[in-house]
Amino acid sequence: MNLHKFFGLLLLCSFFMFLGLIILDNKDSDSFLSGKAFPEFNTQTLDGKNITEEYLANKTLLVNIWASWCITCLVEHPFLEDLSDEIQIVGINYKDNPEDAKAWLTKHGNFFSVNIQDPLGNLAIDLGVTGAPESFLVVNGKIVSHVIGELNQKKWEMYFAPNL
Amino acid sequence: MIGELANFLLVLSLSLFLGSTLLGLSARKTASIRILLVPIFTNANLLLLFSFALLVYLAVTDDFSIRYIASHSNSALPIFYKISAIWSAHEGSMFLWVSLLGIWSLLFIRNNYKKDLFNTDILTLLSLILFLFSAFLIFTSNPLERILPITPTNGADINPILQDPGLAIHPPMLYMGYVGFVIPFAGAVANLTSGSTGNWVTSVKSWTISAWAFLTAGIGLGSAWAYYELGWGGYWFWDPVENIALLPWLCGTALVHSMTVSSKTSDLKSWSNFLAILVFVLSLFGAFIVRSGIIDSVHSFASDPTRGLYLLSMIASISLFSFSLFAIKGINYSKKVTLLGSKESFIYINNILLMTAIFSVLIGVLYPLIYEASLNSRISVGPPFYNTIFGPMVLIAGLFIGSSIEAQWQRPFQLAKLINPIISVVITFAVIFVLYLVKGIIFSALELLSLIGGSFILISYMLSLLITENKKRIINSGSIIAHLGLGILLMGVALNSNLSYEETIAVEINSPKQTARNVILLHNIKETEGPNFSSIVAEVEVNPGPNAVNLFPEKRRYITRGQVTSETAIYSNLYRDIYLNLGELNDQNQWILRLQLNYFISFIWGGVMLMVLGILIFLRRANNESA
Amino acid sequence: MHPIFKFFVLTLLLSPQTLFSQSQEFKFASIEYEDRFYALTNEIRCPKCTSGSIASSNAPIAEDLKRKVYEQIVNGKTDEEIKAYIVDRYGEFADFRPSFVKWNLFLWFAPAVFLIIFGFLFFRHQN
Repeated sequence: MNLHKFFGLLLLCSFFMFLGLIILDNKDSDSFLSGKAFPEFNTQTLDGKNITEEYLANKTLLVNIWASWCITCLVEHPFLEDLSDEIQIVGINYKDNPEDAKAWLTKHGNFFSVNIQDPLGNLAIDLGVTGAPESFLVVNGKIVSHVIGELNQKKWEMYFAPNL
Repeated sequence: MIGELANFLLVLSLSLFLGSTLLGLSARKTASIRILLVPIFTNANLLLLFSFALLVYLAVTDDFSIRYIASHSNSALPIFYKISAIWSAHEGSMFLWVSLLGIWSLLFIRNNYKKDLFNTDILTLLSLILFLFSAFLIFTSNPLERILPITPTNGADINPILQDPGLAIHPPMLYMGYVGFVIPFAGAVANLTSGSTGNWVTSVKSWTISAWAFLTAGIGLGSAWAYYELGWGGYWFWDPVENIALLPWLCGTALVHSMTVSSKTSDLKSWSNFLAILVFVLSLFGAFIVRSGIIDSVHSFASDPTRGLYLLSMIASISLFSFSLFAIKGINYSKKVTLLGSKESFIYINNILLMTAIFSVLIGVLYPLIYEASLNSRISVGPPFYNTIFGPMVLIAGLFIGSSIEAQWQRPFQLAKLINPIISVVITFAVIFVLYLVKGIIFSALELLSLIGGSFILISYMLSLLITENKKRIINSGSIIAHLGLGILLMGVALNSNLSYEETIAVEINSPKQTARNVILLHNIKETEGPNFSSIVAEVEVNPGPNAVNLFPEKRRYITRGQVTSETAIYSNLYRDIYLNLGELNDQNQWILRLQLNYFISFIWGGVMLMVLGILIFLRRANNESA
Repeated sequence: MHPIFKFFVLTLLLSPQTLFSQSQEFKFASIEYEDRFYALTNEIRCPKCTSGSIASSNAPIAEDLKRKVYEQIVNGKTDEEIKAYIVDRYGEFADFRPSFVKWNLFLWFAPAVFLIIFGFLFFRHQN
């Protein structure tokens, strides 16, 4: 094979490969978190009780990262409220002030079975959270799937419902 | 009214481009219609440029009924930024891109057109490319769209980080470089289609060098803009967009070197042909990547799948066509043995190294996409990868460049020519050893590679200038200056990486703070008002005493968008920059300051400036030769 | 809170990448620690940003991760341990230096392979 054919073919191949990549492109799911055990923690609930990861054992839960300063959390709030009939929802109150958080819950409605305080975002970092809101499906203390941003019907059906 | 006129002119020029493409195709057989081509092509370009001028006029006169102007400009902006707002987002950038393409094509055709098949094919190709891109502009990204029926009273303003002279000149400069490569591309493809016997390289060589000069300056300005405006103290981040701007540059560098050989001899002809096609495909690829948003980058301002798909299919067809043509017809070049040690053999090696660099950057950009598509998991390829692969390549390149100075055309290698390179190696190592002994400076492996590569180039050129007789016969001044610039740049990069450091400090007003390497004194914090922003300015003294430096870092809040930006304060001298940013006030009433000592930044800018200067001198020479 | 501070904090949410909004001090016992901190934060990708490292980002998560890196450096963790900590939580995406294993070997060796292929073509051209 000579130089020209070699280059020609190489280039053609790269472009077809590239075309293929665009078609295959699927950015929504990063699966490296699934199957991981929920990280250990030992902290307090918004009501001031002690809580550890043992609380999550032998349950199917939706864990939701939220904060009173988070605007998108307010957007997904009604959807989560409807969802709370189907699944137990545990809140992680992310980088928030407990007083603000309680006031927010009183105002907008509290359907969380429990709210874990995470004032510095340490538990959130252990969970690989990048901001609020984010949601995790946790089954028997293991993370099954993870959604970044607002949780809605579409994302619920796509990432969470099939794993129930 | 003017908006409609601009739109009309644009559509008219689109149809004329289609006309001149079709006419050009039929003129391949019927030579008598070739006389019509130039007037049609000229008018099409003039209409396009006139339409762009009208958009500039609309922007300057604040016509906010044009959606694009309403969302990216504001009546409070200085005129300078009203104009530059045109290329602050997707539609306007594309318009600028197409207009510059028009300028290059028009100038080339007006200066060079002869009624032979080769030139007719060039004109047809240019018309076709202009037609495709104008169509893309009109149908997917029209910047002349109106907002109806209600016209906003004022515009949404330009992003404040873009209110900088750097933004005004850097993109047009970069685009001039990108689109300028359409000329060698058209030349190379027309050479294949027309089967011309003349040397196509001579007619496009100086055009290629001009485009290369623009691209070099554009990348340099972009880098300087990032350094002065973004405030992170870095000048190159290996961001995907920087990488794809680097690709055509690397390829253009290989092309220009290759052309110096193939314009004189029959050697490296197929290389020049191949590189001329590749350089334009890489430029288009750059446009596609930025516009499609498939690769995350600070620069990606449009993520519209339709645009991406249109651009992709356009680029794919252009490159498929031209590379297939090359694979079929490019074979006919005569094969000649390149003498080892001759000047052309060094340029051959240069091509190999630059091709390796191009493929390596390309794989770095594409690997995360391949990885995600096949393994469904995300990965990042960042600066550590590129630094690692560029280190060794820069050293090899440096050694070859330094050794090539006294090589001659079509002459085999002579042992006597090795004396200068050997002396250079000895001096280089002696200097590094002295630095270690006296200053205790220990370089990392990568820094050493770049430092040795750079200083080797520098010293060998200087030795040649001092020692060699008959300098003119062997080397030309443009080449010397550009390569000296490259040497200085590489040394600057290594020294900067080794010596620079950063400190994040909390200070109270009027209480000097001793850090590990500096003393910081914050005198006070003042509030001031600018034309379209309000700001707070800190007055900081770095290392009080005889060598004290006073700096005034600033935080601005732009009134229209409410955006807050940091204005870095920089004190520069030849060997280092003191680079200071103002942060927040913490709860102990201390202000956070970030101090960076960035060493040898002036070497980096100076190196790039010398490279551009060298290229310009080289361009003048090439023009004289062809005249 | 200082009034000027409040004025700027309100608009923080809208800010572009150029805003340096650092609100914590990074104080180190030795220069070596300090240099390691900046080198490391430049190699960790900000998980919420379009591109760029946590060193060149003001996103709240970047600030938090810088704090984590800082705490771990001060507590004597090695660079490898800190990287592992981040990658364990945010995946390989957060590491700008692709690991030297499995598929990534293809990436790391590709440049050398290209050079060899092109070099081979050159020497064939000689004969």
